[in-house]
Amino acid sequence: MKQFNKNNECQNCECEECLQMLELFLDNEATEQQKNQVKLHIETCEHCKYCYEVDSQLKNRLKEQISNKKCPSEIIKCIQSKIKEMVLS
Amino acid sequence: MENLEEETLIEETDAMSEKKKEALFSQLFLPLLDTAYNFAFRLTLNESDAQDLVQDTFLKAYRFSNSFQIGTNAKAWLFRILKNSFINEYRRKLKNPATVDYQEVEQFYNSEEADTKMTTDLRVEVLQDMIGDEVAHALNSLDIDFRTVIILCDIEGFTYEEMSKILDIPIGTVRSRLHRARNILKEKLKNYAKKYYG
Repeated sequence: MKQFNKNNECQNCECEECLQMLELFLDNEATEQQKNQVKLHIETCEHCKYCYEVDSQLKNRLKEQISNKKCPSEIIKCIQSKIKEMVLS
Repeated sequence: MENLEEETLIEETDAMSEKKKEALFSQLFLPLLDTAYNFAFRLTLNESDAQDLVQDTFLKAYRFSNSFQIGTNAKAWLFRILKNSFINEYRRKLKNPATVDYQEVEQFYNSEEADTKMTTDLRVEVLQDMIGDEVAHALNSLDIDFRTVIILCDIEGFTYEEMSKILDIPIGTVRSRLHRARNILKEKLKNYAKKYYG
């Protein structure tokens, strides 16, 4: 039987451990043992599975929306010409 | 005779190292220009400052490329220069410098009290429904140190160890800062969703 506090957080020890490892898991920093522990736990726990989905979705949205800036070509030329000057001097 | 040979050898090594430096630069660092520019833009939030910062970074990278150890992570090395240049030269020049005392903020978010208060109930549907650049806006509104760890980890895919080297902080601090940064970000997105999507 899972217990929830007033903030709707799960009070189960296993959940607490899982949530602590969730970021390591998503950031690919978890050990094999931690990975298995998280995978096994979220198969059976709706609450932790949901937290996993939110965090994983956030990571995807960040990647989609943020990594789109291209360096203007004049900057590349400027860098290359300044380096040439440095080599010659 | 021996001395002459030695001198020629030294000259040749110098010539080689200059060539090597140029080759190293165009093979390892120039291909990273877009990703470095993206990082510079996310730090400065301004095209013109980002252009200055990226130029400055690449010129420094060229000048100091002798100290780069071949075989180590070129991107992490370059990003460390970029981040240090930003802190030293650009942060104080920014038009709207952060008014929040970052140390204070981090101490607060690192406290146990904050953890219970900051538990967020951001819903996955809310994230899926966000079609504009809400996530980018929320990220840009984060304090610079919180923003930086999210960019390095979630956008650039650096490991905690690499981040620790780029930022000159222990891995434990990388982890806790990332955790706080994500909680604040989720809180912001939740409030945003409440405001605009009801």
